[in-house]
Amino acid sequence: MKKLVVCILIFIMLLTGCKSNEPLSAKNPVTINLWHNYGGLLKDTMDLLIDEFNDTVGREKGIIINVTSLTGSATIAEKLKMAVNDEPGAPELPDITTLYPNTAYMLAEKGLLVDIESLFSKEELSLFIPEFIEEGRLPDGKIYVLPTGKSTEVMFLNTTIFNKFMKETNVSYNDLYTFEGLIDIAEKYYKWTDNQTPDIDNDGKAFICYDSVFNMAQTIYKQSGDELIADGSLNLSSDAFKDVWKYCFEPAVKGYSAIYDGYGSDLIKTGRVVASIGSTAGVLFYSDIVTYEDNITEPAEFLILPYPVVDGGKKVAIQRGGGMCIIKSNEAKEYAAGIFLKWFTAPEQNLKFVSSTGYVPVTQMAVEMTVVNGDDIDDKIMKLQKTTKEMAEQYTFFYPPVIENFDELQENYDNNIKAYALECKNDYFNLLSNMNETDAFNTATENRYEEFTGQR
Amino acid sequence: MAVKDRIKYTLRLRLFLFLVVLVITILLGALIILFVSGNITAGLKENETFIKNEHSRILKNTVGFYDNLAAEAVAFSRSISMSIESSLRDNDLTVDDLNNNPELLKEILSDELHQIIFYLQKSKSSGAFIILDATSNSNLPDSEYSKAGIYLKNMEPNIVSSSSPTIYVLRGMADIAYKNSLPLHPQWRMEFNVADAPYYNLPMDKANKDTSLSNLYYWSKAFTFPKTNEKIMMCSVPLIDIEGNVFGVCGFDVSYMLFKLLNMPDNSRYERIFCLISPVENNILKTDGSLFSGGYSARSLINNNDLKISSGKRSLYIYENSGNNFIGYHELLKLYPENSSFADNEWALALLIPQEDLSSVIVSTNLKFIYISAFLMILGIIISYILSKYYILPISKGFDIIKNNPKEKVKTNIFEIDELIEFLSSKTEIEKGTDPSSIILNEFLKNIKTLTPAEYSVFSLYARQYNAKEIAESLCLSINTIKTHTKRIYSKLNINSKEELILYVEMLRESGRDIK
Repeated sequence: MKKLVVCILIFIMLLTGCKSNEPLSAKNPVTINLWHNYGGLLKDTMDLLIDEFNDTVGREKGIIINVTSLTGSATIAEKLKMAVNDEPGAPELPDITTLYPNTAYMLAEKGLLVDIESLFSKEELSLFIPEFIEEGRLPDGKIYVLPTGKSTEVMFLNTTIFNKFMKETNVSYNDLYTFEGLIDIAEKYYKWTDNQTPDIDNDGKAFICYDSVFNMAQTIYKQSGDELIADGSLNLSSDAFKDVWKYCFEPAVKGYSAIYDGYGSDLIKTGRVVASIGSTAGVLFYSDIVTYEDNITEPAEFLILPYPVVDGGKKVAIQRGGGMCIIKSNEAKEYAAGIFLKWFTAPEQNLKFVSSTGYVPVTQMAVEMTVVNGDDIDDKIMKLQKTTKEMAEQYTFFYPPVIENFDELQENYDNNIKAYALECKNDYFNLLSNMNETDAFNTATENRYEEFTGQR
Repeated sequence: MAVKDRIKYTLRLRLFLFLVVLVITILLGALIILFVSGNITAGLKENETFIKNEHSRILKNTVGFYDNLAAEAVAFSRSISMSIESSLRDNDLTVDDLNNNPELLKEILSDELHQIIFYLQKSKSSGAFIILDATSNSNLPDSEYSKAGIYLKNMEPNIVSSSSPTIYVLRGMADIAYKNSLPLHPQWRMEFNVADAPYYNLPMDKANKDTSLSNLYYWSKAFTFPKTNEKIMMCSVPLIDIEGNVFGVCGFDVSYMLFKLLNMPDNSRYERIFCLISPVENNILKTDGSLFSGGYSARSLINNNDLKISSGKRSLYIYENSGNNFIGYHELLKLYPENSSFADNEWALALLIPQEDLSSVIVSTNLKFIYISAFLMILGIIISYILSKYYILPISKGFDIIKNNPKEKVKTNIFEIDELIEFLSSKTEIEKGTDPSSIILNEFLKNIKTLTPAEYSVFSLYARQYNAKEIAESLCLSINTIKTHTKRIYSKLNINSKEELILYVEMLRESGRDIK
């Protein structure tokens, strides 16, 4: 009889399937919805990686990665806010999303994010570059953002135009390594382009465009050994802000640098500027041709230079690039999302990802494996990898603080300083008709520094 | 033991086998009824129903969306045509004057920008464009293929309102984008290249004054727009002025992502299920011109090979693809009105599953069924085993009773068995009664019962081997009285001596019977 009972039990186990701790089953796969911001040319790389995962590990373990949104990081942040606040027309939250730590902060406060340490062991996390991991640790001490590819800011220079300018003026690439040299070149470029149309006064072109004047301010502060954000607000009374004003505001008023709400790569495409300071992740957004107003195009070669440094400042640059977060759902989905992220950040995949984008690998092993030469690697990416390696050796990197009102501070600062600069620029160019440059500038910007910093 | 063995291997086994046969017969009967009644179809019917229901849902959705987009495109064309014609007339210009006039083109296109954005958002499409039959610089090489216009891409057509920019300028003058704070698409170019652009050339060729715009809109095959990375389908309508001059096209696009999000099939049953909207030529789905939707990438399954349609099991179809075959269902889509210039273009909406996946689900369904049947059969056998054991239990218990206590009248509460026990007991007694010694002893016992109490007292003391004197003392009677009793005892018991009496008593004791 006992034998019979044992046989029955074995049979029942066979029928019901031996239940294990594995929450996934290849026969009943879970679908993981993914939002990411790797658009444009990066999309192909992401598509291939996702297909590869679905065909291999995903198929074996029962996970399907399904991209349900591909848009910019700002739009992703907005969609997440809409979904979190259950606004009309809000989409359903995904299972994994790319985001920046400050957006993650909003989700973590509502208890919507999975602690990465609950899915990754200490050994697994130790494979990542520690600074990158720490950036994803939010104020409650938990890691919510897993780095997938990091970026910094560099200068993209259209050498096709710059070389013509260099031939006729006494400038060199070396001048672009400092803000002083950069502003000097920007002034010379403005005048050089102005002189090309002698019949029209003051129609020189801007030399450079900054993708984020907020990041520029943060970096100049850091290079001067100070912090832009202190106690949750902007520390504009610091002497470091005088440098920001000198390198950001004044050239913008004089037309040496562009005041633009979008990315500098847009202006480079039409030859409106020659250089742009922006994220390495945007490298593929720089077109290989410049199209002028009459539809004439010319090829564009690029030089990628390290982030400029203020006079006497330290070599410091911002560390950018968010990562991926796992949104809380159920055990199986969270576990599946963890498996995908482990696969995606493994050196082999991480290298495939960064070698066709402008990102820096996130694990030590992938950094060591990075190839800076290769037939199948885009020329701009190869140049970029050389520059970022050079920066990694010479620069220290910082990441923005994670505070609740970070996005608000950034938006207000960007809008205000651009609005101030635009207003002063209009005044300045109006005054130039009957004043010299110095008087016009002094008049147009009188008391503006004090107004902006709240010292009046 | 012999009896027990015989029950175990004969009656009980017979009963057990009988019950097993009964279980199997009932199970088979049930299966036959289920098969005959169509309740079990080896998974085919369920899968067919699922595929057709899912296809029907997506088809309804797709037809609604595409019809609406075509209607919006026609309205868009009317509105843009009137607006541009009016602008040109106000300035006493014609479309030809736009050529080589970038400033005028910029002005005309800038004026239309808000209308394009309006229609882009109203149509909920992923892109809206107008292309004019003009270029800003006809001195450039291949300028005959370069056409000015605006192409706006909405990266998030599903978001109702958004403060962050989701509309990008893919084609158009950069100044228009800068002035309206619209970012340039990463793959921005200033003008359209229409050298190989059916979405431009076909509606332009077919357009004429006498044909209604509703019969002139054109759905392009899915293709990757030059210098971009995403497949789209375009719905384009010619721009015609009041005099019938065709001066461009306008329309909308449906991006790969938009189609996917709108038509996602339920993949709870088949992980690799996908649907596609596809041109049909000679009974072949031309996948190169298709848009796909599914959680799983169809690209890696199809490998850019076409799908040849052939009839499959029941009402489903088989789609042959070199390497992989698919099973599914499709219906032709009516993307054009009957009188359309493009009515000959056939499109289908298909819902497909890799054949191996369908087979796997059917095998899995059938395996489950087999497991359940096997489980029920084994359960039936176990129950038969237990039933046969307990059914036989009263019989074996009755045998034990008869064997050990033949005289005992124990009841099993089972009528037939109690009857049998009683019958066997009485038979045993009869059998015991046929023994001569037993008959004598029985007679002796019977005679004992005729003794008076006083005689019985004397008898019992004799049985304990007392002599007459000891009995007289023990019973406090005279020796004569004892002698009188003794004579009567001998007479009643048919014996002649005390020794004979004791012999009987000993015999009774040996046979296990009581003298009482």
